[in-house]
Amino acid sequence: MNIEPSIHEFGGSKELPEERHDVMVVGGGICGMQAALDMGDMGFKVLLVEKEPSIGGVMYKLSKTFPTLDCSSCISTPRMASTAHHKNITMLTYSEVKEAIKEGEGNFRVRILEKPRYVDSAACTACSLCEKACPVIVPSEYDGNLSGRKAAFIPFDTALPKVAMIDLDNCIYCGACERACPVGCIDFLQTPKLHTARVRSVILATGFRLFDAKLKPTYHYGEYPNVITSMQMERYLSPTRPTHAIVRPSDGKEPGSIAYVLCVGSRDDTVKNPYCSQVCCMYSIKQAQLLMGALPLADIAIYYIDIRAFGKGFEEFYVQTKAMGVNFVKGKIAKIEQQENGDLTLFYEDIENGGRLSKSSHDLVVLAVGIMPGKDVAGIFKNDELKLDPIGWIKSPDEAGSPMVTSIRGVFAAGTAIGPKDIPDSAVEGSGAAIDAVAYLWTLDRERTGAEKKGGPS
Amino acid sequence: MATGSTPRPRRKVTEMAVQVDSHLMTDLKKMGAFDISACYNCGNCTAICPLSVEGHELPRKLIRYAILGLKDKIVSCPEVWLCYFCGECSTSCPRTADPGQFMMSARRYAIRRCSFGRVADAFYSSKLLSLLALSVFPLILLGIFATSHGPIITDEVDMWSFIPMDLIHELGLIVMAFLGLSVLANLFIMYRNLSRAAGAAPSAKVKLTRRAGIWLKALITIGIVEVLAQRRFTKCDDNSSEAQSKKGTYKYWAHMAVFWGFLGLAGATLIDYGINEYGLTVSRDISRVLGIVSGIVMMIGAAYFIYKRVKKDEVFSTFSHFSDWIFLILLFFGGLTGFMVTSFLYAGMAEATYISLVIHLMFSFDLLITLPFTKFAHAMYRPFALWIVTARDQVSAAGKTT
Repeated sequence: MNIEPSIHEFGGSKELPEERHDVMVVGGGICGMQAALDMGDMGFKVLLVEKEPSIGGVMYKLSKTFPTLDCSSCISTPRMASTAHHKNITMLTYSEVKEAIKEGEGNFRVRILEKPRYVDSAACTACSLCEKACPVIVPSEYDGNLSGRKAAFIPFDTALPKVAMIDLDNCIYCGACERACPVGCIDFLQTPKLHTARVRSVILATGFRLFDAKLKPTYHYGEYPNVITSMQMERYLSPTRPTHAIVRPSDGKEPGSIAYVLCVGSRDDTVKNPYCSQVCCMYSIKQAQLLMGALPLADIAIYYIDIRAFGKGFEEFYVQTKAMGVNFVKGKIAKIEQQENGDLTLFYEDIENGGRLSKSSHDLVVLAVGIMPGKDVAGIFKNDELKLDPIGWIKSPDEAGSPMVTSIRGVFAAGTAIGPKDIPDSAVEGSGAAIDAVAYLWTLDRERTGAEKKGGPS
Repeated sequence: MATGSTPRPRRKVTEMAVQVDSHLMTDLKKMGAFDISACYNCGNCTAICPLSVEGHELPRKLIRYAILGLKDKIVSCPEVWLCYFCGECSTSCPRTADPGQFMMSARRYAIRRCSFGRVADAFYSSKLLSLLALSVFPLILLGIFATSHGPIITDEVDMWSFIPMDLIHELGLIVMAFLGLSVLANLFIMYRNLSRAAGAAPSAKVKLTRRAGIWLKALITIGIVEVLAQRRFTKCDDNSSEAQSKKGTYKYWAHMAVFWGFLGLAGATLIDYGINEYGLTVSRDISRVLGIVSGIVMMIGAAYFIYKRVKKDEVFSTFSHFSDWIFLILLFFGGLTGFMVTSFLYAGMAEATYISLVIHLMFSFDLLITLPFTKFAHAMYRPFALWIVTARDQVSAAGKTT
């Protein structure tokens, strides 16, 4: 979600008293939550900062995980609850770390800007009356713009913290929410709050950003209504989906033939992304399987350059999907054209059939968008240089041996902030970064006391 | 398979043999700037190419041949000549392998391989050799003029006393004879190569008269549509943006200017020849005006391409092989010196006229005599390949319907 507050400079903000923590985890996705929980369980005081209004990252939006087809929100939601209610974890949501200054080993001074929700979070009971009263409907970010939300809204059902907020950019200042609120917690005069904290170590789990499919103009995403992204298809397939059936956007027709275009924004020099995003092949295969359940009569074709099914159980999952009748076609889609009835024509070279120039027609096209480095995290470190690779992923000085270590001692990175990876690997790295941070803190304690410490937090 | 009861015809067995040339890629890379080793065979280039059609796909097929070292395949597939280099494959290649520049290099390679006695190697393998080869004929010409020029009249301009008309005509005939024979020889080599690729004739079912009709019709169609109007060039348009499309249109008209300018100059020469030799009763002004206008049109076209190749702001002009420069320089200076001759002639500057005439003859004869071996050769290979491909496709289509 990208709702910028109208006042977001330090000038208009309130400064709060300084707090102390053992570690600051930046990012509350599956990886950041894992790191925070592991450290919290070991008794460390954790400050978890999340830029969105709710923790959870991307995983709670997804339908199922690959290759086991586990329910994605059934895994992420309890984890979100554990994190939110952990006694050692302090959460700052809808907040961004503006700077982290290392003043010595085990001593970082950080400044965090909490954006205003225009709702008193402590008082809000998430009764939804403001949401019902609000007359403004705008596309819902949570549902990939496939459904609507109000300008006064709760981000999604399982949001944590579950509090309402007002999207001032779309607000018409009618005051309906204010009149509807039974506890009077709507506060249009809220200003950004500036938190200052002193932390002993930092874990960066800032995640990724999805490739903007509009950057591939030959696919006409955003222009042809029946060209959607894989994230939108995740929403269609999810138990909390926006529609009760899978329908294509232009006319609500149930699609009889669906095409997947792989490597949209990955392995593509024209958009300066030469790398493989690692998850698109597998999530497309997973979606194909789920679609065969949702739309048993639909034909599904996956257009690929190479299928990269490299993880545990991935190849078997791919072979199974093939056997279920999904049509795998080797050939990159060069361009998409829209027909009069909204169907789409895909142009490609059919590599495995003698390189024949081919085109095919589909009701719905899903662009398997790749993943890219998130917003610049290196900028928050004012005194030290956080090394990134040329693409923008955080670079460890020892990628093979200590992948979670960064160029700044005491700062660790995990998950898709380091490079593209799937959910289990992100969780693994969350735990890994937690253990690296613990080792760092204990080493500092040992150095300080000069004594061999048996274990346990300081 | 070889142990089957019916013995295979001998000819077929030799056709099956595939020769791998491990130097092919190096040879090709010497003549172009591209990185097809990076190709991961996604087929984007072929699918985006506005000239790629089912049955004649390009350019990935040729990239595959090059990577595998199949030099015979490269030389014998007509698709080399179906590309007009709009550059859309290069701008959209996810590996920045530059398939467009590769196609240009493959074309240079095909020109070398289809020339008799591999004469074209002299114009493509090294700059020095190329310059030497280019200067052979002008030097001979200079020698002839030095020894057998007429009186140098300076009080009035009299070109044909300085260089006797007969001498020019005899030289012209020799050049034309050499040119004609070379063109025939090279086209024959190309025909043989293309036939090897096509394999056994699929036309057995089509009657000879019908086949001849198809071939004749294809010749006329290609002559009008592809040589005179160059319609495929207009289809060859990078449609990725309006600006790109506009650039493609400029390129088409510049090419048309060079082509029609050259044709006009040839026409003017023929009219002049007719007046002098056969007493053609038309005004000499016709050939003069035609010559001047055509010369200017050709120079404008050539200047456009020179400007683009200097500026390197379009995909086709980012890299220039020296053979590209040689062709453009010969064209441009051939036109410019001709223009100078006419200007000095009307200005009554005798010595300047004679000197520029000698230079003009050197440039224009050199352009013609090296035609079958330089970049100019595309003017014969491309229409010929288009003719063969069109006719063969139509014959095989006719074979299927009957």
